[in-house]
Amino acid sequence: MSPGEIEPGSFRDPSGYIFSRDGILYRQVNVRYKDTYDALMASGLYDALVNDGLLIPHAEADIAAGAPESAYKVIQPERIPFISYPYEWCFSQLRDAALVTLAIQKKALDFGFTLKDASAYNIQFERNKPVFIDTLSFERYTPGTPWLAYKQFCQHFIAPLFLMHFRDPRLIQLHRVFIDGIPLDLASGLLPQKSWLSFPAFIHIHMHARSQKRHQDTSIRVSGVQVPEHALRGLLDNLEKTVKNLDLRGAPSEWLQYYTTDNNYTQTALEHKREIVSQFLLDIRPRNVWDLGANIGTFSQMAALQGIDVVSFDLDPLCVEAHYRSLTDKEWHILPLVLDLTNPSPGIGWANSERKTLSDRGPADCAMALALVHHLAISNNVPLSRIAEYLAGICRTLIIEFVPETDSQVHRLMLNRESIFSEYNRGNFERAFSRYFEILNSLPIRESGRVVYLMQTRKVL
Amino acid sequence: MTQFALQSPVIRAIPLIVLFCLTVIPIPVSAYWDPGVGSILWQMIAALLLGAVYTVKIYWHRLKSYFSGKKPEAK
Repeated sequence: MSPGEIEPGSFRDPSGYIFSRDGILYRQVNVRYKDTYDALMASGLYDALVNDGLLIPHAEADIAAGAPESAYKVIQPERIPFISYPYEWCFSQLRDAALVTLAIQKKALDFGFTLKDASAYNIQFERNKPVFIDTLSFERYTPGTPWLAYKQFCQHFIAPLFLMHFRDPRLIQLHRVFIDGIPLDLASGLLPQKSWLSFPAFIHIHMHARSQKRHQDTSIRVSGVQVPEHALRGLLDNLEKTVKNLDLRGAPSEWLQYYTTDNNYTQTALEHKREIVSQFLLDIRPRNVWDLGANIGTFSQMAALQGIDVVSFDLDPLCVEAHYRSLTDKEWHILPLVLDLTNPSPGIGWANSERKTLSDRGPADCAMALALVHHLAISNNVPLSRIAEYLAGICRTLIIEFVPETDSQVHRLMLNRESIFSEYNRGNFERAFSRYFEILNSLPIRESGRVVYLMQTRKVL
Repeated sequence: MTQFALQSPVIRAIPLIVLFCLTVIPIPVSAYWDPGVGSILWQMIAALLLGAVYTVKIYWHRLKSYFSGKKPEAK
């Protein structure tokens, strides 16, 4: 049996690591974590967290360890359909992830444990619900000790949430630059003066940052610092209240109305487009779909209703916000994420491999690119052949809508632009895509010049 | 505002509070990553302050429950 492939991002915590073997993800528990792991499982904390849907369930696997010399056990966590990162989340996703982390820390204290880290990367979305994935993040709580993860929690959650609240929801993108969360001195400097009047921002960001600066050269062992349990609970209570009270400006209902208003289709055309896409999905029956340029997920929801796992990408964080909030009524198999397809998530962290690129997390069984290609080709000057090449690398089948040069949306994009788009027409679109895909079907949308194609990448034929 | 905050009594009292706390029995604390001395020391101040607020809140809820005859909410 092969030793398995260690996940490139799983190397910091000496308690264990993630590896994959034969396409299955496992977590090795190291001998040094044996006592804590056994205590976690015996204490009832694991069961309580799994029952509350806060922690990912796992089964102990009877297989050879990745590194037997340091192994105590191997566990197989329930598989997450798609791994996402904080810089791909909207405001409410980060807020929900923060609340799950705090709920776990509070519950852990009840059972005599504490979280030793509070990284946003420890949260993943199982469909649209946040869940904590690092089973080895718990350690025994000694009454009187501070919460060692407080700094990390503020950097990963509090700072970006305040920046989005006071400044702009796009600032979550700072996570992409700072892999261990937004430095508090930076957050403090970027926040407006009025944020000093916000008590939680004053405590958890501004004064916290100043204390960090003041003690940056202080070398004392923190073992003498005592934080009574009651004070720690007060801190957690305040953090929870702070996170719950934070919101974006603007009413979500207005965003929804804005995003659902599409003036470019007649009712007949929209209905026909739904029929075509639905039929194409039934034809290929994919296990998962990446809906690229999903807007508020009208077509994602259609796919999800067919039992397909959907990742629903859009460029606009408010659009993703509106989509995410619209899914709270039931457990949809949809994960809305922020993605700029002209600059997709890169590999970041150590050796550019701790956090994966978008294409490393694929390919998807099916990608949908509806009403998207004209934005890529005209707004962003990406040649049709380059669009086809990239899409062929991230999916096995493709449902793509061609929006012709005569369409009013295309006219709007071409206003104030030089006449350099003479090659943008249906013939060239088909030629460019035929190099990478086999066109299985194409159907024009009624009362519209648009055409929907079903394609299959050539490499899998 | 920044200067005001830096000169506030709370900030000036930090060394005294730290000294007080360092005199109590040490508890071994370590992490596999750097928790930050400035963060730990600040947490101590913040937690003491917020812990006091939390205590008042708990007792306030108990008092309200006592007079309203309702069972107090679980924490």
